[in-house]
Amino acid sequence: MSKIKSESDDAFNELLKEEYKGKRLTDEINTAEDKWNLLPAFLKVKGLVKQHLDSFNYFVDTDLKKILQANSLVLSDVDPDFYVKYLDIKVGHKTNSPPGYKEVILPPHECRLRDLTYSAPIYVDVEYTRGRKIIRYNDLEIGRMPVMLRSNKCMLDGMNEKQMASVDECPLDPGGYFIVNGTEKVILVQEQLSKNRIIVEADEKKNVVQASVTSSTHERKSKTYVVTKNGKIYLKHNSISEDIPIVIVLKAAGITSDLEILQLVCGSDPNYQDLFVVNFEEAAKLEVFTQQQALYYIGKRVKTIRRAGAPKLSQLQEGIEALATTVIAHLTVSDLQFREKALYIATMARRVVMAMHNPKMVDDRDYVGNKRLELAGQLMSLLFEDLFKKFNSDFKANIDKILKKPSRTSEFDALLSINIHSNNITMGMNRAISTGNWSLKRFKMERAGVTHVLSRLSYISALGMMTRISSQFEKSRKVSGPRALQPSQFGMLCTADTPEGEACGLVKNLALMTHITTDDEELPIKKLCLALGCESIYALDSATLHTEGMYGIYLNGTLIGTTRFPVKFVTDFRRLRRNGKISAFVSIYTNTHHQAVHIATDGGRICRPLIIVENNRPKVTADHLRLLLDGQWEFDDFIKHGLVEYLDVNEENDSLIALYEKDIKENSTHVATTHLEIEPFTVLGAVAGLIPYPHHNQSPRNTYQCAMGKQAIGAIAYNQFRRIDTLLYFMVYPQQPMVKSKTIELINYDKLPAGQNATVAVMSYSGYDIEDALVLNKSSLDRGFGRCQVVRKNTIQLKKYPNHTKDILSGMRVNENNEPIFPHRALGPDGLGEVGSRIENGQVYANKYVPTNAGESTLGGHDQPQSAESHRESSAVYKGPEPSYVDQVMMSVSDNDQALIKVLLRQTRRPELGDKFSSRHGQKGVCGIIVQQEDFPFNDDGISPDIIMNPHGFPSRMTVGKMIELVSGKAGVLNGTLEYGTCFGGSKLEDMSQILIDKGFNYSGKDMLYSGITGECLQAYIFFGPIYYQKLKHMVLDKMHARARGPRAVLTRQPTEGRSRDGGLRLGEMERDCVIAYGASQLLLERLMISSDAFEIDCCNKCGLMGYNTWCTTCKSSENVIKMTIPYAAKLLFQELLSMNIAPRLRLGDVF
Amino acid sequence: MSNLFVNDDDDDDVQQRYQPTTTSIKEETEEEPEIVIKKEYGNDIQLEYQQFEDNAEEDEGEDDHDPIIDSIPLVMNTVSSKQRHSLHILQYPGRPKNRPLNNGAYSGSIKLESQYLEMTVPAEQQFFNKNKIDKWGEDITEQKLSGVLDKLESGAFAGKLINDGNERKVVLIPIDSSAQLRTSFKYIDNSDNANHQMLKKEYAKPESEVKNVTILQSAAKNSTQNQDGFAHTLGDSLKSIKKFDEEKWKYLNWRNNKNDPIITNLKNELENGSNHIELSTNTQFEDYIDKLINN
Repeated sequence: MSKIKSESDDAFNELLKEEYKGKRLTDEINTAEDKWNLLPAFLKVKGLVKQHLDSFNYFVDTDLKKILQANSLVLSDVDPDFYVKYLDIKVGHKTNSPPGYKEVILPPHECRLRDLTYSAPIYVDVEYTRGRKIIRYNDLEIGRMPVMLRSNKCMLDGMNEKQMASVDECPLDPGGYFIVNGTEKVILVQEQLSKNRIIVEADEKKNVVQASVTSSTHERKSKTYVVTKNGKIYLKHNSISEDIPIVIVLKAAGITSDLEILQLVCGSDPNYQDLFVVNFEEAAKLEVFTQQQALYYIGKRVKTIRRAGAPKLSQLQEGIEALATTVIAHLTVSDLQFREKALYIATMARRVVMAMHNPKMVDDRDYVGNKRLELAGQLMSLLFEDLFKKFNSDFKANIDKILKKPSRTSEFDALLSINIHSNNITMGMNRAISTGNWSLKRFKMERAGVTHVLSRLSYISALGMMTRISSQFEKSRKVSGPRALQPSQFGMLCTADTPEGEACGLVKNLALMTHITTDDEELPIKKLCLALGCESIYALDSATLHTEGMYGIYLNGTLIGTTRFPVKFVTDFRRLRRNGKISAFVSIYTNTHHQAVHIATDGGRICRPLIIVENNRPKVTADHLRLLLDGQWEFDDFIKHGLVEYLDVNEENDSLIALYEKDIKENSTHVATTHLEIEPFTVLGAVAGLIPYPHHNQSPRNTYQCAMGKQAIGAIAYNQFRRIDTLLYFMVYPQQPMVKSKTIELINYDKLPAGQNATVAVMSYSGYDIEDALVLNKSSLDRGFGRCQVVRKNTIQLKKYPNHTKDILSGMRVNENNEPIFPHRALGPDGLGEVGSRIENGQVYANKYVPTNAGESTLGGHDQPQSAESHRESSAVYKGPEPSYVDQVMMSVSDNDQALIKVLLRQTRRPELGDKFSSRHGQKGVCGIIVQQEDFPFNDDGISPDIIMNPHGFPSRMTVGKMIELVSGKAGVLNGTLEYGTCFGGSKLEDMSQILIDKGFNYSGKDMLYSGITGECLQAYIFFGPIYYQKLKHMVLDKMHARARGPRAVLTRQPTEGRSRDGGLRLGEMERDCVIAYGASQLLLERLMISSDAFEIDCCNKCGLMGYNTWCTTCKSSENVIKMTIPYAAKLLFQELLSMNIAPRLRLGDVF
Repeated sequence: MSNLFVNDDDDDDVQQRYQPTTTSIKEETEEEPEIVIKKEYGNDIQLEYQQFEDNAEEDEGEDDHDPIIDSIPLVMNTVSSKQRHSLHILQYPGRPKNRPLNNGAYSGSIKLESQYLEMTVPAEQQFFNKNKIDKWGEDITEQKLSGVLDKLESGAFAGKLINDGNERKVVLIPIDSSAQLRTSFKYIDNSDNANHQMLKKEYAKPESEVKNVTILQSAAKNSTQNQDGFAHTLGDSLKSIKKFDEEKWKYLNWRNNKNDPIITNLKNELENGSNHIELSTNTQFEDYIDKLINN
């Protein structure tokens, strides 16, 4: 008990000091319990959005240079001597600027306010010819690159809290997004099937097995299939018109001997040989025996897309070209050696044969190890390469145009024409990020919805967005596979955080400790493999390739050699990795089914750190943790010293991971434990980490909370009052939760919370609490419970027109008493709302005037006097049921040199009937009634609750975590501590009950309450204590709506739709059915026509068509014309039918 | 006696202690017969055929359970002049190693730029379907084997344990490249090509006029660009095939006779060669790995 007390006490003091990691330095360190300290250390170096930052950094530092190298020469068709060569590329840093200097346009917050793009210049070093001279020019700006906040090109990188404050930036803001035209844009993580890997699938109904590989290079993307058709195997590719028998493909790739083909595909397995042998007959029937014949066969069937200027190829050449570059495009053959490709195709065929023999040998598309995550950096790099190629070709066209001119007066300097195009790169990047449309010409790819506006509803909603992963899967398809929870996503992707409804399971979130890899160099790894005893494929005998015990070594899916000692090979390789000789993110694992060792260096793999266990002993010891706590070590030191390593999903399959230290010994008899979890609660992500005791809840409740936690109103950032966003919600008195979790501390939710600790009584009260409605205490609301502020931005632009007129602001107008007229009451002398003034419906906050003659041209208008400028009023008027207050007024100049005014209007709202609240357990409810405190029940101490919740909320929801939260919270209140509800841990219920008992309360958290109305004590003990409640953004004030009459749509003359357009309330199809069932036909007539779009027409009873003015235009008489009322939409339909030569004729009869 | 050829994964001049793969040689029983060609360019070219023998060498690795009982000095010899000689491993996949080579005339030719080797060997008459000769036209007595010479990336060595009574040593000889020779059925291709030409001639005549027009068009198109702005040229692979086709064959001689003085000389040179350097390790394991990864 005392131990608990001191521990909890410390925790509280830590929080007052805002430092908890350095706690109890002198205390004994218990590795089993304190190893979680690795987690804050991890987050310190990796951070929650580190994957975005890493990938962007990789893009600007490494990928850009690669792109530049691949497109480094610009040559001219006209002058063969002319060239421009790019030597180096840098973003925001010149050759001679001091190290660490970062050149960005303006501080990020200023870009937000002024609607600018936070960007840095892109500099290239070029070498080019001018006449006969070769000139080198450094730091040529070719465009501006949007900079990801907190990346190493951002000015915020490495700043301390004070410096951050000086540029109006929140130190807790994670970064990882872009600011384009003033809006914050996130490039969501995209999930895709891994590239350049073989995926085998089987359709058992159709009896088809196929192995497919999506090849992706810088130049092209294509997919190659090896499929079965009637038991025979073929190669299929988009650019080959016909499926090619596999034997012919292999012959074309230089494996001329049937025996060798059999060896490569089947090895010595008779089952496989029997399945495969039929393919030889196919080739023999087609009389293809030699490589040349096979190449002809393929060449004949290639779909040639001849581009202008491309040389015409012979059939043989077509065949070679197809095999060398088109099929399996990521292995491009540039010499005469086709062995690598032949082996790849043979491997695909082998995998197909294996799956034919044993249907279980297929791959799982949904397996996380077969997925790759595409991050901002990769997407930016695709985009940049496209733009850069365009830039170069434009540049080249321009140069050619100039060089073509026979007589040039001056020597031609290429750089003079380069600047013209620099806007293309800048604009291209800006447009793509701001619209989210990624169109890549070279892949003929159009992707929409890549970027999203960063949600700034609360700190957690922004954070949740940064860890979100969106899938390429179509949302409308009703498939269960991709949506299901995969066992392999343990620890990598959050198990709770996914939306409900159509995107369920397709949108995922990263877990707390996830890292996403960036590309690593392949070549050194290949060399290392050869040094470690891998036998190269070039010297390898085909006959031995698939012998028992021979393991193929695959580097990123491509066979590079074999080994007979896979265990030793893998151990040696891992030892080197743990020693830091190779990148920590290169993964290696053995697949015994395929007799393969797979090494992966590619980017986008999901991995996470684990403690290495050797000889049943974790390598992280108390001494190491002490170093960490003392601040001598960082997380990376654990990697460097080989104590912790990153495992990706595939390598996890090769390991035995203990959850707790005690589990290591249990398993020791069977298989040796290889790793130990750092902390089990890292299976959850940042958003699910807010839930106290989630392991006691029914799982869907945790998922619901993940969705609602993002809608909770709270603190947004330290700079929230400096922000001018379209719509922001602030909680007026946010509190950190009484029952928190380690995740809450790690992600700083306790510093920017979204909710308040409410004292809750679980009981029935008044009957206004049905269907999860809450009863609120009016005095609590008076004290500020659930109070929030809503600020809304209103932008006014003062335009300048071509005829030199411009919009102006003008002061207020006054009435006869020299008082401002009602609409102008909030204005100041400058024509803008005064900060702090109250604005009611119909009042003006910016008194703008536009010139009446703005459209006139300046030409020919010179003789007219300029002073005749006249303006017409075009003021910004406030509309809303509740008044607002002017919070901020900003005036600035946007980048097109026009005045930009932003007026921020604020409302302070107290909770009212119908406002939505939720606890952290997926238990939402609206406010059903607000009751005077006098009528509220109270306990012995005179405490009355803030909220009364109906107990019927518990049985069906099974949110036991909420009950434990209440008990722990109550114990914490009585004890003066904050308690923990960390997943798979946290404060123990026994200890909490003990505290309650010690403080003279019931162990179960129940109190005796007295009725506030009668003063008698209630018949039952009431479950009574604090629960953290969130106020959700759905508020009645934003939704309430009614209309008697109002605007109508132009075309149909029916009432408009939606609250924002003051629309009508729709009586829909089902409501119509009800009214019909009641037989209330007059009501139906009123609702559907009279109150909607009644229209009087003149109908001719003779011809049945409509006329006008009691005149039938068809019959040329007014004899039979009858006036009647029909819906305007019906009249419209008749006319539209007439227009397409269908005559709807009305036959009228008497009703009675 | 002869000897073994080990594909060690050594760097050229570094003999490191860390050799996990040498053990793998022991089990390698299905290794194909290997041919070592020694070639001299110019007039005199010799080839030597040697049956590969399994003769595993002690692993001087760091296996703890395997105590070192004896140490044998390592010596590296290279051919005396790189211009005149080079050593290659020729593999003949699909042919069991215990099957001797056919008797008859052997010859070789090489395209140096393209690194392509072609061997002419006497054809197997035993299983040959004589009836096919009618179709393929000529009397087929020889067979062409060809393959690309692959530079051995990690550096491969031929090793030989020399046991001269009192003096024992292991000689390492760096191998330049290896080639897997596969049959290319030239005669089929030739007859195909002949047929093709005939067909082409038959069809070509009436179209000759149309052709002129197309040439003009393509000439005009050549200067223009496609939409990407990049002129299309032949792909890399086609370029190298074009280069290959343009290159002339250089002919090589086949030396098979064990008593041929040139072979014995060369053998002798390689065994007791000029640069008689005994190898020892200076490089640390870490440096080796660093070198491997960082360059």
